Amino acid sequence: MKSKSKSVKKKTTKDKKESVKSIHVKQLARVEGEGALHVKMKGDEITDLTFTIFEPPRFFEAFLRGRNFSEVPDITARICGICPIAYQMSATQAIEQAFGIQVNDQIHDLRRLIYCGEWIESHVLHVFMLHAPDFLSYEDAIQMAKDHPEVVKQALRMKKTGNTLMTILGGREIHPVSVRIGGFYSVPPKENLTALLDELKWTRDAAEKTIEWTATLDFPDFERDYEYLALHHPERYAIIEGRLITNKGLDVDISEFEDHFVEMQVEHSHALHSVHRERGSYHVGPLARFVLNYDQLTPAAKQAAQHAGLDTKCKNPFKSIIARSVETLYACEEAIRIIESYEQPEHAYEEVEPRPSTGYGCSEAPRGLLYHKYRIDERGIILNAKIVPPTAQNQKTIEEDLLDYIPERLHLPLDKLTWQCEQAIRNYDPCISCATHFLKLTIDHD
Amino acid sequence: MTKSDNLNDRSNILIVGIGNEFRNDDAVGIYAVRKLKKHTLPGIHTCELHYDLSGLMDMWVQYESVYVIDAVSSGADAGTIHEIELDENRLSEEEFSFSSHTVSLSSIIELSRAIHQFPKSLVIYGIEGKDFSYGCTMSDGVKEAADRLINSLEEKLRTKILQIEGEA
Repeated sequence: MKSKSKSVKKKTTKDKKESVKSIHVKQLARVEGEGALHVKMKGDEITDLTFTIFEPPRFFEAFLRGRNFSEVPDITARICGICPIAYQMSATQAIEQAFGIQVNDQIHDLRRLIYCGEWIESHVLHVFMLHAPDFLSYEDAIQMAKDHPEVVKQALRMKKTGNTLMTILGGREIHPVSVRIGGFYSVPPKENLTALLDELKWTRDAAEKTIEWTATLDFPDFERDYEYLALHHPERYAIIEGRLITNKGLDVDISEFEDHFVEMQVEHSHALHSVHRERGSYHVGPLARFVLNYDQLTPAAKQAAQHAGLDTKCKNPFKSIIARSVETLYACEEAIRIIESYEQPEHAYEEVEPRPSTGYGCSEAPRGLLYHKYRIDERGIILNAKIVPPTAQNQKTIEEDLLDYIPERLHLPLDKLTWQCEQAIRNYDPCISCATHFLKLTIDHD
Repeated sequence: MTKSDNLNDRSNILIVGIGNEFRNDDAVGIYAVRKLKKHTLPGIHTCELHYDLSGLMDMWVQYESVYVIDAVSSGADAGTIHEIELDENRLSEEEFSFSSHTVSLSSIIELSRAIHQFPKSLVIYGIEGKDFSYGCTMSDGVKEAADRLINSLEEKLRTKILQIEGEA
């Protein structure tokens, strides 16, 4: 689907002024990848607003065609240096579903464990280094560190815990190499994991303090009635398993994703916009997961969220920083639980026999739902691939947030308004590199 | 790598090579540090960083003297060697920002300063590159510059080690 309209309009109820005002953020800072924001106003009316992703398209779906199924986890991991595990997990799940493979509980737990490492490192990076400076009026984390060195030291230690977990299980922290279809190429002995328990417990306590700290931040008075979308599992806080649910009544198998959601090409962005076929924009990420899966959190995570004033009615996207901190605490507790009950499996992976089929995979990347679909032939060759990353799903929501957010704040000086717009974008921790893996190319012939 | 992984700590010197082996001239820091490692100067610790530089802060605070070798793009001729002693100096964000997706070397340096995890002495060697596209071949003059730097750094380090041993 292609949307021809690149501009969106919003008129306020205030008296009309005829002055023309523009906000141009040519290069968004503190986001992963390269994007920009352009807003044009006439009086109190926004005449044009575009969250532009100009990072070049990366064609990953095309790269995958013709490749053997076994290469997919390693190729898709390269889509993102921050969340490679998310890509590996959605890919393995989709291909295993296509081949009818069910991994055992131990492998399943190890996959949750390495994913917890990714959540910890990614969430901590965003909470402290990318988003906190907005709330505390610092230009960046370096300026913040000058006044709050202990906070930044704590964050770096927490992040290192997540990175170490990924290295132990994945072989290295960036683009891990041990994940394969059917399991892992190798799995660690128990002592390699238990060696990390003390640091995980320290990080767990630090995450509790982080939740308390984020609750003290000053949140803009802003709410929207979002359609939150996340994976949901009745027993576990969904990371790599479950059905797709929303707070507007959707409850479907992951294979039905494209029946309900569709990607649209927009002229101003190299990333596709994903929308609900009938209801338009929707919201994925930590806040959506918290709202939809609160019951599956650990008691400590629930209690910490309650003390922080975060509840399942939350519609304020700025409070995603609290939700991210709550999920950091959850990820530490889940990692501790898995390590304490871990017994090294006899076999690191299930044997895999390809068959012609289509497989679907969904997992919860730190930034939100990540959907993969692969059509595979009898030799195990990928015929077609589709990947819908979280930032593509949140992109339209980000634009709509800004359309609502800006008109009430036109009285602010331009630099302050620009700052607040950037902060509103960073609510979603957008990963632009992930979102630009695809571009619809059309060639017209005379 | 941590300092305790090494048997010989007496020199208290760390050499870090930064780069991407698959981006032609960007590999020069990795090339240099590997060659220095082969020469096994006693007590010199070496380390390669390919992507995430955040580990530097924990690592280099353990050392008296740190030397970082990285490719640089300032517009000078390929193979030009820039030597920057970091005391109060700041590093140019543009010249040393190798990726839009990770924290740059200049940011790591400033963050280290802010949280008081800075080595006593830090010298950056930037070797001017020309071609940072995909590939595993360094441009003419870049590899030669790295070899010149290795030779002069070895001389410097030998003198420094002798001084340290003399003082001990």
